[in-house]
Amino acid sequence: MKGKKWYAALAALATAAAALMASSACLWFFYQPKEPDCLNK
Amino acid sequence: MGWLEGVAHRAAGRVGVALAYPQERVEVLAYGFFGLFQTALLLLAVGALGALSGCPLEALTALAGGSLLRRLCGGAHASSPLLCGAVSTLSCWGMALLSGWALSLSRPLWLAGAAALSLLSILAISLWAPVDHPNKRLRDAQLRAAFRRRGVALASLLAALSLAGGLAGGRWRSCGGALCLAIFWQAAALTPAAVRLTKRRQGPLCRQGKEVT
Repeated sequence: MKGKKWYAALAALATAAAALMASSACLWFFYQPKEPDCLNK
Repeated sequence: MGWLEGVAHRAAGRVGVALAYPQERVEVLAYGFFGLFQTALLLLAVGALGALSGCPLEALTALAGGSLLRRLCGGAHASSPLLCGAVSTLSCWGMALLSGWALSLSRPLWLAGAAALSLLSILAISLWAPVDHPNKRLRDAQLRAAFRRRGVALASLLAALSLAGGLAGGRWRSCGGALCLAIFWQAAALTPAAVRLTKRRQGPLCRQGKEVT
């Protein structure tokens, strides 16, 4: 159960980062990975 | 896919399996993890190189200012995360060293130079921002106009902070110098020349400024 909490926290952090990146013109450094289609929508 | 993207996908896969996420959600996690890992690595690399040269604050200021502006303006991109890391690290380090050297200039000359660079940068951003990438298209004209307006506003704010640092003197001036150079560097990445250079490597798919097809 504790392990699952850690995974959930990591997922929340990664999702927040992805949302921030999706609302930008590009990723904030010189390389732009392929953006998932669902974030495009 | 580069090694960093591979690491991000593996981390996302592990989290996705543990939480029983669908594939679409796992892709979002991978995208987020990549951003986090790249940010952490660059902070470490730039901070370490800056610390070795006695200018960590200036190097990190350049990184922060440049990346904030890049969020709104986009720009020419490297073809791999490794090249991105190398270019970002070396450019921030170079800007930190240059800002230290610029301390030897008289205050009026420093301020005149910083003002000129800032004006050129804001002009470039108003003309060419945002520059998108095939991996992240900006198709909406209104969205592009909004990014351009915000880019100009942010560049103006950062330029004002840079000039304020120049007036304050000492460490503030060197950080202000690093910030000014970072704005200029990001603005240069929007120019047709920079985009042409990366087009040769990535194909004719990057669009600039107001143009939308």
